Amino acid sequence: MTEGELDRRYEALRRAVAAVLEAAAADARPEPPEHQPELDALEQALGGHGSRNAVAREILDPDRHLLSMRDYQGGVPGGAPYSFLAEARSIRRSMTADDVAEHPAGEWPDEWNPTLTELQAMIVATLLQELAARLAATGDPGGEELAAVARDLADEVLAPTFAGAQR
Amino acid sequence: MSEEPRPAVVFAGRCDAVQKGAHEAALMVRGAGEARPVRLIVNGAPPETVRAARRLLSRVAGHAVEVRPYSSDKQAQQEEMRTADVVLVTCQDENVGLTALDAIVAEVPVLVPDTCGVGRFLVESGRFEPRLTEHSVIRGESAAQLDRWITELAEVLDDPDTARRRAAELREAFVTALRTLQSAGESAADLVKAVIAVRGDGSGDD
Repeated sequence: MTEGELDRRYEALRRAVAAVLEAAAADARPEPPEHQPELDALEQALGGHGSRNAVAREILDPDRHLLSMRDYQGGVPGGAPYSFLAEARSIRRSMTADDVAEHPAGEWPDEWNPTLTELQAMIVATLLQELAARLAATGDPGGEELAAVARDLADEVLAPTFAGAQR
Repeated sequence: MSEEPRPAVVFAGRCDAVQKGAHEAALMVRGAGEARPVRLIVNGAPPETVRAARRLLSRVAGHAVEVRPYSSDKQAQQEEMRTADVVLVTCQDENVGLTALDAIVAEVPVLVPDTCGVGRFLVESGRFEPRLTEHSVIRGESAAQLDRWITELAEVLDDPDTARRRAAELREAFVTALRTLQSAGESAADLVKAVIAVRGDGSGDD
């Protein structure tokens, strides 16, 4: 992004923030406003007095981060964005452990031996394939790695079904 | 002007159990290329999965695949087999290969692996000239031989008349092997041996 583009986007953001604050101030409902603390922080940031946490917080980027999960392990309030790359590596590690783990089967507890119907497996695989396509489309290297994980899992789930590849 | 009918490539699953190989059949049709448009008809899906299997297999093939539920109507299956342009028996885990037998008897070009009983019988019993079986029996592990399957499928699609002539010759040789009581007994014994050998290799279904 060029410096001029950054300036333009900052100016647009600043105006949008100002408009939100004006609209909130003009709105009598609810009293007090439900999101007053966030609006106060926004007003401080607009005036150049935002908290260090707010400034340092990494912005969630849908092209690089999970939308469904945040990273709470680092102690960041509200959780930090969780990158595709980190998720791909985490799943790969788990799957490696799963490959060598013993999987006790028995009548109880049933959760030890979860099963999918053939149709459920096909639907799950279809959704994983769609996820993989969307991740790959981000252009993020981590996204491509997570897409590969999703495709591998789709193949794994499909394998015992009528539509699965033979091994 | 009406569009020329596309050759029907049939993957025939069994009537009473789920059979694998539909994915590989879709891969082969894709591998044959857009220059050889076909109707891939996949039989034998569990009824509730027909829609999902159609989407998945069409994605693999790169165009619409017709998926049909398994049926116990053997006569209807044989009738469909007779109208096929080529039958693919892509299941690696089949002991006998009954669909291949149906295709051979119907004089329909068939591609079958040597990992099933019929395939092994055709190439190892000594009752068939290699020229009669070399375009029908795919040697070696099927998964590793995808290119070979595609080559043979493309040959059938490019020259259907020759493929039909070969299928007729194969049927004639098959019938000859069963013509006299003695040859029928010996052939049956060889087929049983081939099936037992395949079972011994660890295959599962009939």
